[in-house]
Amino acid sequence: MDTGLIAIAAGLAVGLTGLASGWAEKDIGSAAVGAMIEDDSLFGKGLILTVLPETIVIFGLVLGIMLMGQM
Amino acid sequence: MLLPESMSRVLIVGSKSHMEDTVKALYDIGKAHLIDYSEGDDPGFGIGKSFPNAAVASERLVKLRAMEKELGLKEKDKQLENPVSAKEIRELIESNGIEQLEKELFSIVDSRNEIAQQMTERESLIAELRPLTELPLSLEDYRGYESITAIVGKVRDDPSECLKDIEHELFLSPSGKVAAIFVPKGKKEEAMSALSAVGFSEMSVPEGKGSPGEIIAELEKELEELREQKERVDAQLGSLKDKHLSFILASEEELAIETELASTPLRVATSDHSFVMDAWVPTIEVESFKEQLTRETADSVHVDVLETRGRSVHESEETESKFKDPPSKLKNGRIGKIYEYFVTLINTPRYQESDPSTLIAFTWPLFFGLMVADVGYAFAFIIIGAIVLKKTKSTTWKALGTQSIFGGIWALIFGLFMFGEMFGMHFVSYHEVSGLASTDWETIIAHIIPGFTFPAWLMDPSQMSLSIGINKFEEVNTLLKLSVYIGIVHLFFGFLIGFFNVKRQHSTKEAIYEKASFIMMLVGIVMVSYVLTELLLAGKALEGDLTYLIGGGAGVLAVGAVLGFRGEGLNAILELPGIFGNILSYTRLTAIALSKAGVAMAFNYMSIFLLYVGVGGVIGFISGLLIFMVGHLLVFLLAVLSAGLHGIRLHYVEWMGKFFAGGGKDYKPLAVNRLNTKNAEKEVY
Amino acid sequence: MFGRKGNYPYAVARVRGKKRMLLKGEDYSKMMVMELPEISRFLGETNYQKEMAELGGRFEGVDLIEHATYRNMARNFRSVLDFTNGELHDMLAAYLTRWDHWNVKVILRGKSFGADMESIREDLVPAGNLSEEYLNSLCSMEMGDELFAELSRKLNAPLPPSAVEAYKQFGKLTSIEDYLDKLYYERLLDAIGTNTKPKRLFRAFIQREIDIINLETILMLKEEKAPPEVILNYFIEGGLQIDRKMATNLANAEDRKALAAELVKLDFYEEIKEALESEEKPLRNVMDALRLYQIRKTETLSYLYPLSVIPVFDYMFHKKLEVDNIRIIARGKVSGLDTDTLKRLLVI
Repeated sequence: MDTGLIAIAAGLAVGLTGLASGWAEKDIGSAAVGAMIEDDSLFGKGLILTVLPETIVIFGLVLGIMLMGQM
Repeated sequence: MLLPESMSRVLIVGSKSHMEDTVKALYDIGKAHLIDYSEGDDPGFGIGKSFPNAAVASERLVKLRAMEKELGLKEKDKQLENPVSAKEIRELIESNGIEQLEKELFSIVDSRNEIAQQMTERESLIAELRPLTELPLSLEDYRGYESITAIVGKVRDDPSECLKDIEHELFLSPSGKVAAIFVPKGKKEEAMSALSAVGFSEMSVPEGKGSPGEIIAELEKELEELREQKERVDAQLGSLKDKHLSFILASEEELAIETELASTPLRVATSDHSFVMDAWVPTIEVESFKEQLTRETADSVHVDVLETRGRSVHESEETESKFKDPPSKLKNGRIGKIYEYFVTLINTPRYQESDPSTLIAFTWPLFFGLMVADVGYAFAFIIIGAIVLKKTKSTTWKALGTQSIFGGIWALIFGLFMFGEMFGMHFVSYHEVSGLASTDWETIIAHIIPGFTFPAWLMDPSQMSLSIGINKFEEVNTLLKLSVYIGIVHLFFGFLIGFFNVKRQHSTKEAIYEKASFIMMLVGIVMVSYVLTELLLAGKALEGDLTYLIGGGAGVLAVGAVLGFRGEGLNAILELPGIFGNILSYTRLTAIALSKAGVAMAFNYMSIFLLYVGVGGVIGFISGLLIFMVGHLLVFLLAVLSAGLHGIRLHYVEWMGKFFAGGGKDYKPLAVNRLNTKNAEKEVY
Repeated sequence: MFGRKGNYPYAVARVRGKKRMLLKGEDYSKMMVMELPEISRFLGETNYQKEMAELGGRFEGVDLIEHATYRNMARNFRSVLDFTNGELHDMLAAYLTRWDHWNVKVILRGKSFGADMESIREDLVPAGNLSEEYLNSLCSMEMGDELFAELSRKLNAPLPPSAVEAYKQFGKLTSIEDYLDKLYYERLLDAIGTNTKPKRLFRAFIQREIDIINLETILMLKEEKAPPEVILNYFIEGGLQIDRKMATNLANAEDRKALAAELVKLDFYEEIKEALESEEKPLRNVMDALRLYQIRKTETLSYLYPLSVIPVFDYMFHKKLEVDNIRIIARGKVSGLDTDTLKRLLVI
């Protein structure tokens, strides 16, 4: 198969999922920080909620790595 | 196992005259978690009034805290090296020590504020006068004329041109920036609008006499004096602070304890003559508690153990709302105790549910180690963790330090025996590697010490059952599979804990509907998915064992789904893809390990090339070293964030979501905690 | 006048956090049996820590509590202003100028009663544009033309000569106060505009507030048997439901029945119906009902529009409520009110 296309696919998988999770985390993160400033016991919950969308990029990363294996 | 300490509810009844003794005894024993009485629970009872000493003590405490603020005491310097005798402090407080200190302090503070104000006044006067020094006029020259008035201000250009139609006398500073213009009184407006052409901005001229320069010199002398005065006052404040620091801190603590004790009745139901307290006491200590309380109050109050609360939710539902939730006193070993921090970060476990601290203490470092899996970073984590543990007292840092050490140890184990890797480079390359990872430690060291080889027992796969030196990038699929298996096992145990939680709180039947159903769905999904991957990816035909496996899997999945549907309705079915996602979420274990190793390898590739091949001479060597160090520092920091966060996230989200509800109350017994004061004799207070 | 959108997620999470930190019902029950110094200490261990430490050496008793509560409120409101940005910030800044008007009214009222500077300063809430220092300098001015001129200059609006005259002749400030109220809402509505959704939401919110204020004024003046034309003088334009026509009808209503017949048209009539029909002190009850209605409505709206300016108002209302309750308790303690009377005075 065309190696170049695979590399592009892997790049897209990681890049786009990274953008997506970043976009999702932007508001969650700022809200979490806001809540934490008022009540620092919310740190744990804020952290979890913030990193929830991170799974998207992990899937992207796994896909990317698997694609690299096809090269 | 894993459950919070069992609690018993005690009732303490006595006459009001004995309340104070009782409260003191309770604080002395330090075991009773008081249940707050809320207004209107019982007719004839109301919230108790604080003991009479509360008002005075509160007033003093408010003053004391205000003084601390004036003295600029920070939270961090609020710990004395040598605790003070509580008895002496009490005597000092009683003899109005705080009031005297307050008087002394505030007279100094007042004079400091006075000086500061005088200084600002003079400074602003100087600022006003400064531009006027450029003009050859005295202050009295600007005022006191019958028919003319002065306009003074800053200009950008020589204003004489634009003023030529107006009768005026102009004084312009040598720098050409400041101008004083004398015009007839009626012409001021006109002159002002004419002056706007040269960017005129008016300044006020202070009242007074004499030349501005002399006045400034005079003022500066005064300022200097004031500055000295201020320094003296500040020094006075400083010495006052040093002199009385131990008194202030010790009496704050003493008064805080006194007010807490004295306001305990606010949490207690009282009638005209009696009081009633409800409290939770750990079951194993309840008998000794009862005995001790009776002894310390000389048998004047009645103590009753009303119940020992079980773990069934129904048992709690039947009681009054304030008795519904016993506090959770978590029960863990030494290490589990440290990891309680990470659980309570989310929430305190409820009385009826398992506390996963001890399990997290095992699995989180394991996951962390798997993700780092590098001997070099492992040592860094262990050393840093040890330093943190040595330096810190806070629970947060203690917990993080411990995690760093344990995680580091696992990373060392995986790094040595599974991947054989240090700073992203293998000790020995067993595989014929192409491209990127073209070198290894053995080759490099042999380059410096000719003939170097690692001891065979460490690195020879033939002597170990495991093949050491797995190349992360060649075995991607193996590693991904491994992480998925870890996920399946982890989730299975998560559901299992959930099963026992529900069984304990409700019944086996509900536990089967709610949790066993999910276990079956999990197993079913795993079986079906396994067969599907074999068919689709490995290209096998559907025959033999695979047929049984997929049939069995689908069956188990179906039964689980039916059970779940009966238990939780459509929700259970909607959760199905969730389980699948949860399992795949564990692939992050591999993904992060790979990405980190990849970045490290990239830095190695850049730096080793420069260091080892020696292309760039000295500059090349130095920049190679720099790339190596900065690069690995970066990877290390990434490891802290990604391996740490993702490791705990798997626990918080994927795992604890299967069984953990949280929302328990912290066990906070009435107790006195002294840091800056100490009791010589045996007494509470 | 409004710029970019604003940091809604952050700001809303923070004000929700602030709201959660407010005192609870059981805290009030405890405070009601405490002595004044105990209340100060208790407050000093909550959100009021900073103020109690700053003021604890200068004041005591009820003075300490009154100073600390309003100063704390002002600090909190200003901090909300500080951590918001964009359109959200600008809307809040416009909204918070109400405290400038409040402070001016407090000063004028205090001065007209000949109150001393300290007791005027107790009631100041420097949460708007006018700084604490400036307000202090106003406090130290003599009541009279100079003060009025200064106010006209600072608010950038000349006080109407008739209102000033009314004060000079009869010592009545109502006309000036009414002018300030109208000025506030007029400017606020002008400033808001209608070109974005958040602005329209904000606008509707303010208009609902104008309705409530108009209704309160009308009911209060009717209670005092003021003639309809006087009542209409105080009418603030721009409300959502009560227009001038309805206000005229209300002002002309002869008895409670006629009033009720007109009020039925309001969508919040159900909320005040019971209070309106109560035998004892109907006015006070209606006022309380209106206030509670406003607070509840804001709370509901704050969940309907979670990423809007409404949650901030929700917090601000609750904060004001808390501060008022604390002050009621503190003053009640000084005048020796018993717990039951105090409890009735609180709005929880």
